[in-house]
Amino acid sequence: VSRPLRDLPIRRKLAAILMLATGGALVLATAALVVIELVRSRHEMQRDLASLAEVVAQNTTAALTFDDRATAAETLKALSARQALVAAALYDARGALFARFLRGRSGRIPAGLAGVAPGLVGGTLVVVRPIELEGRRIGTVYLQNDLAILYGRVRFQAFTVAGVLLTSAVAALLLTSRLQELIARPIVELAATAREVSSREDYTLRAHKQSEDETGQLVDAFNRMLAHIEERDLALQAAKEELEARVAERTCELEQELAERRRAERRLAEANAELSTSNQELDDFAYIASHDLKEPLRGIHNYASFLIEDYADRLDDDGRAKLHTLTRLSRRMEELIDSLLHFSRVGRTELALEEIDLGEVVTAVAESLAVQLRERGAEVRIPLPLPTVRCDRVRVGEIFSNLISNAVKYNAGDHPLVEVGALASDPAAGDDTGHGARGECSGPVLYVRDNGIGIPDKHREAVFRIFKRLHGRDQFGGGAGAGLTIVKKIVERHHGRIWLESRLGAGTTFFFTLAKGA
Amino acid sequence: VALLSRPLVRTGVLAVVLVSALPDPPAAAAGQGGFAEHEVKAAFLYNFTKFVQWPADAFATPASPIVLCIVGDDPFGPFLDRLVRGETVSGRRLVVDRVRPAAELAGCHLLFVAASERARFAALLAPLRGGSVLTVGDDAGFLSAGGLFRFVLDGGKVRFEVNLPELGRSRLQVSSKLLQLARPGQDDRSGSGRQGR
Repeated sequence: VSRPLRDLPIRRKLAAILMLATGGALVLATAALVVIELVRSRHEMQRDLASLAEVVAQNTTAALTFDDRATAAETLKALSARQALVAAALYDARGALFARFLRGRSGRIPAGLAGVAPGLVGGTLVVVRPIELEGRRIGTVYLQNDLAILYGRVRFQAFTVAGVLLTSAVAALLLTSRLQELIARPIVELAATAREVSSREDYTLRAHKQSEDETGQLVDAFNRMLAHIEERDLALQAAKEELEARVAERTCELEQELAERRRAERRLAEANAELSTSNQELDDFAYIASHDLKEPLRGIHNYASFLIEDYADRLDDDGRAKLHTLTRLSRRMEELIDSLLHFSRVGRTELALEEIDLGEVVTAVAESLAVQLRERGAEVRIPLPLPTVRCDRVRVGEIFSNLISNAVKYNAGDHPLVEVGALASDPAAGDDTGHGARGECSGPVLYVRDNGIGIPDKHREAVFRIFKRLHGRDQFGGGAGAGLTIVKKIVERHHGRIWLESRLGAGTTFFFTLAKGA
Repeated sequence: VALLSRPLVRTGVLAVVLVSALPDPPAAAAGQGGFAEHEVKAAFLYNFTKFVQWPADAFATPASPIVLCIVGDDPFGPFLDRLVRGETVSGRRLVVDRVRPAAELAGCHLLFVAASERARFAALLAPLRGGSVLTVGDDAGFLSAGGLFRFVLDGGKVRFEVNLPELGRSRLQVSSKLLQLARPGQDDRSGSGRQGR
């Protein structure tokens, strides 16, 4: 079926199909009838002509036998009543022409039997029959029929048949054009309903069922489908409403939660601000306190020194010893205050961040500690080049200075060995420092490793506490006990962290990072 | 006659047809296609037997031959004998018998009465009338004397006349096809034998 026919409305399609079918049947039937009629009438003519030849043969035996050409010619002439016959001839036993009858233009009589060809010859039908008498062939009959009349008759019949068939086809079309409504109307109405349903989105509509055939089933199925859709539509609507209600409810809850959280955040921010303020105040206080404390302390120390210088001879040994203790304690007090000042300064001053080659920093620190290192016979090793990190040069120098001098200080061996290096990245979670997971990329991990006395596990946190000393005042070179506290403060100001690994008697490794992601 | 070779005759092709087909007729011939008149007449006699049906009692047995009798001066000579030798008509052989006028003629099936017997026609034919002998002659008064067939010449061609009333009275059945070729001769009492067709 061609594309134009496929897109036609169903009424037209049915009409076209009916017309094609009846037209095709018409043409085929006419053609078949014509062919059959042609073959049949030609066959009939052949038979008819053959029997005529038989009659002629029977009636001309005497004429041939007694050489009576005139009678033979008369016998042939009697055949003129037959319209289709255009030529008739008799040939004698030798095949020579004996008698002839010729009419019209289409007839042809060969001069001798040798030129005779039976069958269809140029629009004519030729029949040839031997004439026998007493078992001997005494001659031949030659009859020629013009087929024009036959063809004319067949043509007439063909037109008649075509006319009849055409008339009946037209009648059939008229009839079927009413009958096709039976098929077309339900479908057309179904289509209209479907269109209406989709354009109005009204699923309460129903198609009207007109018959119990396939179309009726289609209508039923369509209606069932509509019912289903309507049901689902309602269910969907209900679900949607319920959902909306739940969303509204949840939104309300969320808003309440959000408000709650905002309040909490606000409280947290306030607390933070308060904390920050109090921290700042604490730093300020520490600075001011220690700064202001230094003045009278200096006086106490000076006056104690004056007493020793000027009144030493007037005092007994006990008095002098007490004065020496006084000056020693005041010096000690000064050291503590200095450390406190230093510590508070670390918390107060801004960091001067820049790209720093840590290798240079460590080398400079090692140089500044050269005397101390030489005294203890210690060695600082940097096995691999250290990275460049964004940090405050002076503060980071302080970190390394503190850690290296600690490493040398707390070492009972003859050859303290300090190794400074960097790991590719923070070993993150899983370490036993208790710092927990950090997650973010935190840059290289720097470490300072020694072969010193080590730190017991229980003191891991305590070493970072200010003025906390694990050993006697004069053991391992003394000191204020603020070094690791300051180191931790600097690391934290760089947003890094610090931890340690240690085995008693084998050595300690301090790890730290600077600036997460720096 | 010399041209009419024996094999040609023996092939069974009808004499008349043969005659008409022969290319070079003898100059003196009076018959058809260059054949002598007596030769054509002999052929006609032979051919008559093919269109005539005799009653069954005319033959002694189913195998009995058809007897051609000639009475009077035989005009055919050996020609007729040669013509019919070996031929059969309706399954019967043909024999030629020359008889005397006084003889019993009822055994003949076909009787040719020569012109020499002109004076005795009536006497010869009287006992045969209403019987089953096909009588053929060529004289003018033959039919009026009660004969059945008579040869005539028409434009140089051999034709024949038939005495239909007498034939109706006989016990013979003659094919209408043969009669179609015949000229009616029952009123020919003048003896001229030259009526137009």
